[in-house]
Amino acid sequence: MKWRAIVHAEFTRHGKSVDDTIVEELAQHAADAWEAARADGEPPDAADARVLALIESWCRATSGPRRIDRAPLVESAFADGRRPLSGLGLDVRMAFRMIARQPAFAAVSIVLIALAVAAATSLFSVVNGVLLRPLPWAKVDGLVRVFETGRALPLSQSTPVVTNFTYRTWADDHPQTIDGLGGWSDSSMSLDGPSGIELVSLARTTASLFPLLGVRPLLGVSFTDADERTDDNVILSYGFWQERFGGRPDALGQRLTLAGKPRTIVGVMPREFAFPSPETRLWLAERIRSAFLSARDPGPRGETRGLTIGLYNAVARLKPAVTPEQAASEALARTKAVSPILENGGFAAFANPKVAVVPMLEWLVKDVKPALWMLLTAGVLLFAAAIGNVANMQLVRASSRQREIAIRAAIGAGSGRLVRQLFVETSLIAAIGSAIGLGLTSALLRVLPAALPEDFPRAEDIAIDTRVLMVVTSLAIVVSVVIALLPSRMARRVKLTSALAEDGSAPVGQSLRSPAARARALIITGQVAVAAVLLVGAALLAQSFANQIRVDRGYQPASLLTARLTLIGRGLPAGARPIFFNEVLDRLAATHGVTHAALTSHLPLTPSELPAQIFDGAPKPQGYPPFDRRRMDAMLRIVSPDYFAAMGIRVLRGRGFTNQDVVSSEPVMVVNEAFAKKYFGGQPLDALLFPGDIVNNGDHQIWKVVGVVSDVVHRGATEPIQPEVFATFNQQRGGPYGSQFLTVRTAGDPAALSRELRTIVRGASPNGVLEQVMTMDARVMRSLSRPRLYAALLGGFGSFALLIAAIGLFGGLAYGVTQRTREIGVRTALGATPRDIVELVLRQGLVMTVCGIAIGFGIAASTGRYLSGFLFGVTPANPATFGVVGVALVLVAGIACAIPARRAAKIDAIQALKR
Amino acid sequence: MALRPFSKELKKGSAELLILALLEVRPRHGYEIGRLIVERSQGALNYHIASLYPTLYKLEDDGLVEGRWVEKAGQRRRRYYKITPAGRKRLSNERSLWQDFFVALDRVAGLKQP
Repeated sequence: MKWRAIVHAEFTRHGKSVDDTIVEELAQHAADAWEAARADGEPPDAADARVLALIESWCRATSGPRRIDRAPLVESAFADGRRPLSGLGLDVRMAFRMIARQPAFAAVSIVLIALAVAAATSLFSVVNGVLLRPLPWAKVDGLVRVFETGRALPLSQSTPVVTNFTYRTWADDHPQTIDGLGGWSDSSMSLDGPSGIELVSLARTTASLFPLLGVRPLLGVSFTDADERTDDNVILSYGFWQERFGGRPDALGQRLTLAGKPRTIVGVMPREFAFPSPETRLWLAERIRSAFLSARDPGPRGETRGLTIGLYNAVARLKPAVTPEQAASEALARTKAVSPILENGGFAAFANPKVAVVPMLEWLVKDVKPALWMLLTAGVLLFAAAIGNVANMQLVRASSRQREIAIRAAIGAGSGRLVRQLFVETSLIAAIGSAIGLGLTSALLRVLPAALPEDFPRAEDIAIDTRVLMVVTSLAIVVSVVIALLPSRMARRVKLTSALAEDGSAPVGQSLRSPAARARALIITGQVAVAAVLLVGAALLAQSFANQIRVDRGYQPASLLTARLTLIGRGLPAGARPIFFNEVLDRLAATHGVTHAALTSHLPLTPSELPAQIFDGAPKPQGYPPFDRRRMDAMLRIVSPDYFAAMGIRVLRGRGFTNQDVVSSEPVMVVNEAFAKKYFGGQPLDALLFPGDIVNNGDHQIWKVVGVVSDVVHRGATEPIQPEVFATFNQQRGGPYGSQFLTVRTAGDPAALSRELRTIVRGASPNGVLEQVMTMDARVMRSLSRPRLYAALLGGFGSFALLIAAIGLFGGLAYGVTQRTREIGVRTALGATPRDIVELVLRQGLVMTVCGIAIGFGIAASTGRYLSGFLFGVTPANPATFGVVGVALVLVAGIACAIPARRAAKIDAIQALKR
Repeated sequence: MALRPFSKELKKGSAELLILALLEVRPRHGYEIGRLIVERSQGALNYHIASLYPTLYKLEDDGLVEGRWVEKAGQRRRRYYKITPAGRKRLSNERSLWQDFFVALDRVAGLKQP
């Protein structure tokens, strides 16, 4: 375009340098003026002359286009500080240039930030998904779990149930504090399918439950009160509907035969409704009977008089502004009023229950909540340590860039401008690092479900949502501010003359005298402290995990194969079950490699329990029922005779069961040591027990204790041992019932037997169902998956923190040595030996290490009580743990310091002084 | 009514007032501003076009107008100037300043207010 060239040439002729944009703008004006002149009818020559005169006038204008005068020498944006964002593009370009100039430096910073952000964000995602997000399948406000801790329910913490007595008394008596109660029980039933009979997991719920939870079926309708009585209708889970009916709406109205009874499909629940557990495939309606039987509310066999007690899970919804405590005290008051009827009717144990009301979300996550907060805290510490490292690196770099900064200040950059430049640079690094960290997090969350223990609550709710994104963004901002903060303080303080005059090496003796050096030392000390805290925690958890593996469980988990065995089907002839179970045991006993095979009603590390009240059975003149006698609470296990041998449970006194213990012989029981100690001062042999009809031996009601076995860790090593009593199937009328656990001790690898086991069960009956086939070792490991996960995570964090501390020490000292080259030269020249120099550097490193360890140990010791809930067989203040961690830290620190120290010792005095 | 002391701006001339007033309606480019001043005053205001751009740049530096390159399909890109909120404030100040100026002139010289 010709005007552009002319404008440019004219300005140059007048000795003025002009900004390109101004030239362009003036050229535009010139072109417009020329066209206007032509449009007015002027000939081209005259128009040219008129415009040239205009350009001439611009060039000569006394005030002149001011931008031209102010065009800066080097970086135009430096001069233009008035508008806050001017020159930002330049800053960004500049930041990219700085990163490109030292790519390794930027890469290390970005990797550290990415890892730190990934650690903190992943943990936050878990905390967010598990603890903070609302339940996807229910309106959670005011939803509470209700359970009771009556005298009869010593285990209510692990089996949180209410009796029908409490449930109906409260629900029927116009409760003031709650909008209603909903109850359910877990169950499994045989389902007639196209490929034979199978076992399905289901829940029996009251009609009130779904409305109370605030969920409606995706298709069809909820249960009605009539469904509770007829038990004719079934509701499908989304998964079952998809799998069996291909998601077709015509599933409604079709029939399913459950436990031999055809039932009509009336509804399908939404996909996210996983209640009471994700395994629940169907729901049936269940009526929670009144404890007081009547013609209107008869018992299971049509009884119209007397009392009945059943146990159910229950939830309630609090009325607005009602606290859980208020609801609990209402329940207590209602039940108290009618408790005398239970006491007089032989159910004193269930009278006057203590009712607990706990918010649903709190209840669901109670087992993992402390651990999650602990891990999140560890993640935050780690984040701080890693970011400290990046800040430290920036600080080092800022000191080496002092000259550059000084030059830029000299040509007119204000301190604000320089600080902004630094912020743009660190923000860029922080943004890239955080973005990678977010990517890592999303990858981690994808593999997380596999890594989490199976029973980890709400694992399916863990995801990256808005809240997580907000956290990542704030982390990125924190990172960019923190890592820019210290260097920018230096930029503000830059002294032009000294920085420009300096030859690049520090003055003598500047080890800790500059603020930057002090800040670096503080950061390094802090990193060592974080590593110390995390390593102590990790070591304690690891020790406690090892202790739980090594602990004497009272049985031998090795070489043991276990499985759940059920005989399903309707219309089985009487005695079919004992025949089937014995057939399986006999075939197993005849199998090569099997030393013992046995059945038990309750296997260690499986959740179900059968609490029993056993009474003193010693003959008394007043006869039976001896409900007013001494009562002994215990867990009842019904086993086959070979059970103790199969499990490797030691018989301490007396004898175990034999094949001679049958229905017709004297009923005998074996008790564990805890029972013997608690109720018989350790001498229970020949004592007589009255277990009521919970173990039914026909006419015999009094059982004799014939043996004491070692205590078995039934639930977890950290849980107290329960008193236990054992009876044998062979003295049970009707033999083994329902589902049993099979335990098979093998000579070789137990897992190798699982295929043969399936063949044997199929051979014994086509209706035999084998589930949960796994070795006992695998069950033990599964029960320890949470402690293992926590120990592994904290161990990983601790190692990462140790690495960061080592990098910090190494980098800090190495930098210090280069800065002090001249000082070291002077020292050497004055007679210091290489040994003195090594000591000089090592001392500096070790002072930081020891201070860091001391601070870290102080924190670990004072916060140890938060960890004690996770520990088994080791105290939070275990001196050995602290000792080992301390030694390890000093060793690693020593190695990190040794390299810079050696380098310092090799400095040649002459060379150093010449510089 | 106490007389306000007239600002230096007033004495310096009317260029800023004219430019801000023209930009009050809508954003315009430099050529259009120059042309409108000449047209609307019907040549009476002999505006020296050489000082238009320096004035614009000064207004921009003072944050009263904001210049921006705008590209429209089929046209050359042009630098359009837009009045800022600070510019509007200045414009209303200038207007009342000129108002007072005319009042003062009128009292002394018996001018008719426009």
